[in-house]
Amino acid sequence: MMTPSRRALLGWIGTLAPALGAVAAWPELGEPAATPFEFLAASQKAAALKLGQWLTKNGITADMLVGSQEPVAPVGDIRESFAKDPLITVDGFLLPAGFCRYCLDAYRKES
Amino acid sequence: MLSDFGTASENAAFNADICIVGAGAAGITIAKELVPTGKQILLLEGGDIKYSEESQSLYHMTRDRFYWDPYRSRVRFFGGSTNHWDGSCRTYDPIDFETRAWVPDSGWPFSFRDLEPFYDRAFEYIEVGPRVREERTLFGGLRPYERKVAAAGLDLRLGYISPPTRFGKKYFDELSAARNLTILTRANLVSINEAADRNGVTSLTIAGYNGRKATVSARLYVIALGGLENARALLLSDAVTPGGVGNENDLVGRYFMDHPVIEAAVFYPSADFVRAWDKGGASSETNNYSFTFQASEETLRRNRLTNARMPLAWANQLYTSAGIESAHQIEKAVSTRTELHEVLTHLRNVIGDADLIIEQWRRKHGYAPWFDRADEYGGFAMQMMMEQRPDRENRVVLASERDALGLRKARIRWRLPQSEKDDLKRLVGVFAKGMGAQGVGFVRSFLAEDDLDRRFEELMNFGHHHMGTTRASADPKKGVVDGDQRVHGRANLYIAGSSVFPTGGHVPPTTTIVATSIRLADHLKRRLAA
Repeated sequence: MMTPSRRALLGWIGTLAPALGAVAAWPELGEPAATPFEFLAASQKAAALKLGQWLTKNGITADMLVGSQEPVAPVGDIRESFAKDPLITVDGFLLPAGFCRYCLDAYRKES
Repeated sequence: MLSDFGTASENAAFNADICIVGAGAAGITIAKELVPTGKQILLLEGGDIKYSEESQSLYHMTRDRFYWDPYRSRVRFFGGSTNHWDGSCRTYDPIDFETRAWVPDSGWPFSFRDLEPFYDRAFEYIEVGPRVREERTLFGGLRPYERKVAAAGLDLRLGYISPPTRFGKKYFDELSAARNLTILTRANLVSINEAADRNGVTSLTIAGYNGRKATVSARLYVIALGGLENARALLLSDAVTPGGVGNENDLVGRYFMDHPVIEAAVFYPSADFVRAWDKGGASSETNNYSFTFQASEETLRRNRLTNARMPLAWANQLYTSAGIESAHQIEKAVSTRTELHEVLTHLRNVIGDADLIIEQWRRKHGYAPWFDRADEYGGFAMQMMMEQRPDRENRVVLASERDALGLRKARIRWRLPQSEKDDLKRLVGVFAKGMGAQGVGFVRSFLAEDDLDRRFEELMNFGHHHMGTTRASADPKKGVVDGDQRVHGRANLYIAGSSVFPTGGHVPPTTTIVATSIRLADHLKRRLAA
């Protein structure tokens, strides 16, 4: 006869099995989350596209990039954007809004 | 001379020109400074020369949920908490002494310039050699970044690393050999006995662990028991002044401060900066130094911020892994049955860093490394030490519970208002913006937008630097002691140590405790000579 604790354990395994299967099939398994800064090592256009894609994946839209009560203008130079634009937080990364807008625009045009 | 109150004869009398209560950094410094005067000095220590549980257990206090029990953070035997400090030293900054309009109740009764000569002398006590006037001369490989760091609104600063000096061990031989000084161990302060007119102190009552009591008489008294116990000693001594000695204006115990320490962010600098940082490890023939960032004075004034020490610590992938951080948060949410925000992001992070999570578990349980990625460079951890604003409601009060000597224990009330959490978040933003604009690097903050309280609860630790409970001010309505660290209205009672600090700065206080103690000792020399 099964003890209550053994039954509970089997119950847990039964619950977890489909979840483990789903995890194993996950396409990103073993791939560490890339930081947006790694994208910047690429050429400017490629970096903008990758960062635009990453921002989109994280739910960032152009409407969310607001400066002092106005939509922030796109800025292609990240250092210039850091100097003059407000920062936004995406998954903890602090990024300048103008450059993010530039990347989102580039990604939208490309796709 | 060394004497043990536990074995002293029943009718032993204790008289001196000056009695110093507490043999930690402050008490030992003052005693050492006063020995050459030839005046009779009595140095009381509640503990023994070595650790004993009967003494240490007197540091148990009651406290709010967040706060640590001082039993674990302070040490109660000869040498005090220098018996376990890590040796991190630096002077406070000139702005720390100023009255800052955006920091209510800020302002010391003396300036950085007033204290500077005593800092120079303090450096000898803590064995870090002469104070470096031009810190930039030791920036080494980081010198090319000096201009960029300044343009980012930041300062790169040198920290000194003491051996660390264990004051008890280092100075015991010298003090115990002095003919005019008696170290009386296992002598616990029970009460400070005031004259009926409250003009001064007539005697102290001390007690041993066997319940025996005695009276100590001196011309001058210095209470140097640490940031918590100094206030407790005054509060307990309420036979003449209701609320305790020096508490006419309800200030004793209030404005308690510590340095909250937060793992606030990871900094991802450029490869050039990483190389420069590696080469920048400054040392001279006799000293080791560390580097930290902080906001410049101009940045603090413009943004109306308090400062924080921002050291950069090389961190491997285990430290910076978003997956490990997410796994912790999932585990915590499950164990505390609280809501988990951004579940999908956490799951994605955990799956992406599954190898690191396994590796961390393996190492924690003593297994050999499997995944090399864990030891790769992951960024620089930014463990920030915050200046806490003086807050009247943060305080030490007396609890109803009593200790082994029959004295009411201290209760610590401590909070960190939302505005200070916001300040730190803003400071991380200043760093990120400035370093980004200069092309030095990028920041990932752990202080996310919508859950700042929870993040602080998870990430916050303490410097265990207890300050502010007998704050100094020239105005008796704003401070317990005056600019000479004398209790307002009491002719012969002084307080030494970090409890007199009106604001706490953002660096460890030991250097400033020693400097202010030397300054106080110079004042006492003049009083004793008069």
